[in-house]
Amino acid sequence: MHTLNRRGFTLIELLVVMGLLAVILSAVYQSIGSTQRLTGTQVQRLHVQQNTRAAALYLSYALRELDASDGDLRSASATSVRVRSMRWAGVLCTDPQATVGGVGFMLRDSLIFGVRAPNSTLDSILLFRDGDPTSRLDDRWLVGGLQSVANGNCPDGAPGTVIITSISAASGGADSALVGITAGSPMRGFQLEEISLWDDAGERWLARRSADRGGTWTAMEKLVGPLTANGLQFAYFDSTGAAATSVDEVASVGLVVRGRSPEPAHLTSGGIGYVHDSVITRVTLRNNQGF
Amino acid sequence: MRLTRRKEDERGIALLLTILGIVVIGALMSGFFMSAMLENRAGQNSRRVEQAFAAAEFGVTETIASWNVGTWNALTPNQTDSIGGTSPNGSGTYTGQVRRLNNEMFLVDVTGQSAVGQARQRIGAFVKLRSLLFDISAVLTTRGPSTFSGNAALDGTDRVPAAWPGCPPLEGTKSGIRIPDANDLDFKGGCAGAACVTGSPKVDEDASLGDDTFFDYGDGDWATLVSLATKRLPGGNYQNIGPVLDGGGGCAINQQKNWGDPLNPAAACGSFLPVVYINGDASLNTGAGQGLLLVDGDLSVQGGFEFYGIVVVRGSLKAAGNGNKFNGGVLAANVQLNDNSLIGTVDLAFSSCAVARAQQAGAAGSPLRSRGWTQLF
Repeated sequence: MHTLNRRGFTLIELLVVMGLLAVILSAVYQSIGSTQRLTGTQVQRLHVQQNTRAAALYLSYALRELDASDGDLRSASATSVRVRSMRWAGVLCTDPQATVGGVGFMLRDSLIFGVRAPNSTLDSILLFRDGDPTSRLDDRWLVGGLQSVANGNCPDGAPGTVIITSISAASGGADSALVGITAGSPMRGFQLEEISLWDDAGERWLARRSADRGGTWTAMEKLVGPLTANGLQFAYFDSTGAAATSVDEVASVGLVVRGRSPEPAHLTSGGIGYVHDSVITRVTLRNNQGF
Repeated sequence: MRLTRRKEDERGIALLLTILGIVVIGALMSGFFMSAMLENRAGQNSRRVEQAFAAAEFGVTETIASWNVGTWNALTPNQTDSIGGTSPNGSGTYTGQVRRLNNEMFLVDVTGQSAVGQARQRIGAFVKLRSLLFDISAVLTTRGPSTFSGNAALDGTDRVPAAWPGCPPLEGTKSGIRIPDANDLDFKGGCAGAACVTGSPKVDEDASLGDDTFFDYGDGDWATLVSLATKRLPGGNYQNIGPVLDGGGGCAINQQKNWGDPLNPAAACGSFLPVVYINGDASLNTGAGQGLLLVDGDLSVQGGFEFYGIVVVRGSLKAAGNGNKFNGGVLAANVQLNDNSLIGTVDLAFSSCAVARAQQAGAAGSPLRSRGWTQLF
């Protein structure tokens, strides 16, 4: 009686169940694997998309404020540009005065805009000179160096920054800054910056380096990457849309950024490889000389 | 009893498999949607940044293109006026301000915002007033018979009005009188022999003088100039022209008799240079003003009226009495060729600074020729 009440599985039942479980688990494993591969691919794709967008955005910021017709585009190649990169802009609250070391004046702090404050070690300057107030034809920007920076106050008591600059001989020296520049005149601070496709241990990056006022360059700084071997390409156009033949003719810059995923991923086309994506755009230089 | 037993005997993994299947499909779907959502958000963010940037650029362009001569040209240095608007396609809005920097320059500071989301971009433009050009190469340019006597004095020597700041370097001496036919000039009394005229030359006989000299101003003509007028007055007699302050001590620029304060350039109305248009014959008696004075008729001044800037009279100019002064330049078109007469104590003195300021009074803004655009942070 006791023996008759025993329940259990026969060997065949067990084999069938184990077979079914194997099929089911195999299907589950494949599904999870597919999910992981898909997610991994999507992560790599997102990475590439965000990188290429960020590169295009950075390059747009760096290029659109240039005046190539007045020397802001220093050199240009298919994979590299060297530019006067604007760091800040400000407005004088006093007339310039001749001083030891150059020309001195005050900037109104509330009207200094930029990625950082003026820096006498790093910055060169552009100072707007308005010769004849009734004419635009003789307007020009004097080029110089920022010699010193200190705190001060504008004549109305508002916080200011005392600036002493040296004006280059090519711009007429200090004397040229004492006429045609008054309180309210704008100025800009810039550094030379080089942006290029940079090879770092076999991987390409959008990278930059900048020079201080004395001409000493920093090491290359990786900004966005990795990119493909041809991941950064510049094309230069004049105001008619034709290819520019010199840097001072450049009115717009065509950009192609090709990104590559950091890690290989399962591709939709099959197989394993890097995910690629690209951004193509054109930046118009906003500050080229008008008429 | 049998039924209960059958229930106990039921075995299976259908529920387990179903739940497992749902989990797997859910994981697949959630992974897919999460990736799609992240891509979508990244794309949306980029689009909104671009919309905000486009709105800011539109704001700058729109502000400069529709320059508010009456309000913004009357701002004092470092004074601001608010601006705002919407992109034409509604993809963004902009707010900001126009700030006067000095006599010629302004900063247009605009922040654009996307219509959806909080993306913002701030850009600016340095703007310079683009002046109309007046053909002033003598302190008095006119045509037709003109009589000078008494203590009238015309001086083409350039000078800076007392205490006016920020004036450009002095120019060379201009002519005293520029006229097509010197035979139309009649110097009497103390002016005999053009003794009351100082200039290089005293009289510039220029047969080419014509309507263009008086009514063509480079980018505009007489109608353009009239359209820029910030004060429009009927013909008539006006006395005691002078600065008027509002309750807060600011310059009440809408007061009809407030034509600025040329004698106190540092005062509230010192930088206010209106474009005044008088539609008919005008008689001005006592007071002072500055800017651009347009008279669509004859102008008669008497009794100590002073004006700094440019005066354009379509008819004839008459001055009598004591203490009348014009600093800048006078264009008396004298279209009817009636007699101009400057009798009594009247001084006409050339001032390139006053001329330049008057030109700016009717000027629209224009971005700097180079490097006017700036990214603000």
